[in-house]
Amino acid sequence: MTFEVKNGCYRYPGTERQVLQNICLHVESGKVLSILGSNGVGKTTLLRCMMGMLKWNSGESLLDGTPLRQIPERELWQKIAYVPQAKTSVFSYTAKEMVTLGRSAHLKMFELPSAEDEKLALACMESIGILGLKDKQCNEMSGGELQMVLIARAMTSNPAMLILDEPESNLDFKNQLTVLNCIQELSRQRGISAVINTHYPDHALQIADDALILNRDGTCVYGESTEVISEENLNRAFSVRVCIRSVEVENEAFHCVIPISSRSAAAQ
Amino acid sequence: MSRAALSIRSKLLLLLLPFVVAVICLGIGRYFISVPDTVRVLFSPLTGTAAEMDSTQLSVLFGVRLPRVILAMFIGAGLAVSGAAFQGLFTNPLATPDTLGVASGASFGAALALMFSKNLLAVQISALVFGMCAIILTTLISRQKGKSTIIMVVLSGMVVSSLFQALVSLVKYVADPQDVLPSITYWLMGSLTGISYSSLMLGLPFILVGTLVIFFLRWRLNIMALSDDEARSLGVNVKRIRLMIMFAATFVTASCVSMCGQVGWVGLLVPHVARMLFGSNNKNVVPVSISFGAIFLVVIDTLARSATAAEIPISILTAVIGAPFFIVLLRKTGGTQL
Repeated sequence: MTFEVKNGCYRYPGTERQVLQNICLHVESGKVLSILGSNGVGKTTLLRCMMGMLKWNSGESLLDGTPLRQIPERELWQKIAYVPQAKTSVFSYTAKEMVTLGRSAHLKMFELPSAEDEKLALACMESIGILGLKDKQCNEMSGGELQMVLIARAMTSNPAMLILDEPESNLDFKNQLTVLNCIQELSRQRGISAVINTHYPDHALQIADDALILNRDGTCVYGESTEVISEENLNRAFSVRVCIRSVEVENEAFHCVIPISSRSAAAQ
Repeated sequence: MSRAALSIRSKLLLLLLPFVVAVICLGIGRYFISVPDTVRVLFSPLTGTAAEMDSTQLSVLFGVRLPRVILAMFIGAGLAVSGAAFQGLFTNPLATPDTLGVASGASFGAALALMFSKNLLAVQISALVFGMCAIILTTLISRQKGKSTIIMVVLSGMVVSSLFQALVSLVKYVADPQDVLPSITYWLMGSLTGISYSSLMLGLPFILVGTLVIFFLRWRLNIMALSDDEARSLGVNVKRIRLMIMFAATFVTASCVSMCGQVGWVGLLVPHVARMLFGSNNKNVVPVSISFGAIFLVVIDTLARSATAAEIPISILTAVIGAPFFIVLLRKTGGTQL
């Protein structure tokens, strides 16, 4: 599978600011792309445009060379799965019920999930190690647990690509690691590609093959993550002076991004 | 408190229980008929033994009580299921045909039609049209930037509801006080008295069709609790399903209202009981609501007609039971969810 965005531009109707300008990206099977950018710069907008929930003003998204809008919705959502930020809702479902909802694209309008579908849901939960949660109410879960449930839900449609919107924000240390490892494993072992929005450059360096940094003016820097996530680029995108250090622990290299000082507007 | 999927046994129980209750309630009243007698008389036309039965029992059962009990079952099931549907649709535990203004809109439509004709079909259609107007109005008012909060839905429902209630008052004000006004007023209080088989045949198909649509879409109703993007990314045509459920639930409410006036609280009470017993999965909530709704209203209506010498309007009884329940519910959920 290859997913591409060619020259995507987007501006919210009735506003001046060009949120996205000439965005080009390319995701292959088993690759992870991370999207970085400061708050409100348009990371979620980019994801929504990519998936066709917002219409590009110009440019297009292509899945295996076919423009997204030419692919019927149901077919599209069997290949791409979206994992939103974990939020609780008024009516609480059990984890199993929530994960089973992921089978929607495979069922007809009036059809109910069969025993097969439920078995598949449980299998997906087992494969990412959360089978123990199956009878727990989603509203009683921690943020990390709920995020994992949503990933399991996305996996039930057996997608070729996962799109995750800040999957590890609002999570504590350990849960962040669980979620990131899960994404990494899915991509390495099953060849699923992933696009993730994140606030943390360290996380991007850790799991992403490619990275895309969105700037305030709608342009982006895109390339291999080790090249793109540089002190200079981060400095420009976030207005923060950073330094990046590589640390070796138990024969494995870890990158840490250390924020030094926030640059004031005048200093630019 | 089983929250697992309904077992075959409980499914069977849900299906049979309303009929068992109906048979028992058929015998209760000023003229008491024992259960074995009720069953024997009920099946006598089928076995061809009608001639041998007590003629009083025959006429009480078939002439008076049977159409009424059938109506109560359908109205109860219909109002409960449309309550469940609206709650799922708006992801709002307080959404019911009453709170969203649908019942008031339908009342106005029905009252308006009653002013000009007694034709039940005309009344039904007018009720449906204005019920739809009410729900569309409520939805539009409460939606801001594509989202509607629980409190906005309830507030706009209140506004729409009082608007249509004012219009109902207007209709009453201009109606002929000799003939039309009493019939509108009496009908508005909600009563299942004096229903005939012919009006049953005219109204029930509407309720049945709407209920079936919601029943078959019940699993999809779960998805409405998710955000629009999320639902869409699960390959669901959110708009189409939302419209279908909204239309079906309004359809059911409008038919119920045009047949027996505003019977409040059923749409709130029953789905919440279902949720407390079986969890929030609408795959369970919808069938349980249908079954419990039918049982609830048959029992309430039996009370209404037999508790005292004079008949008590049914909406009074549902409110007397519904209001305290609602208070408990508010106290329980108030802090966290509303």
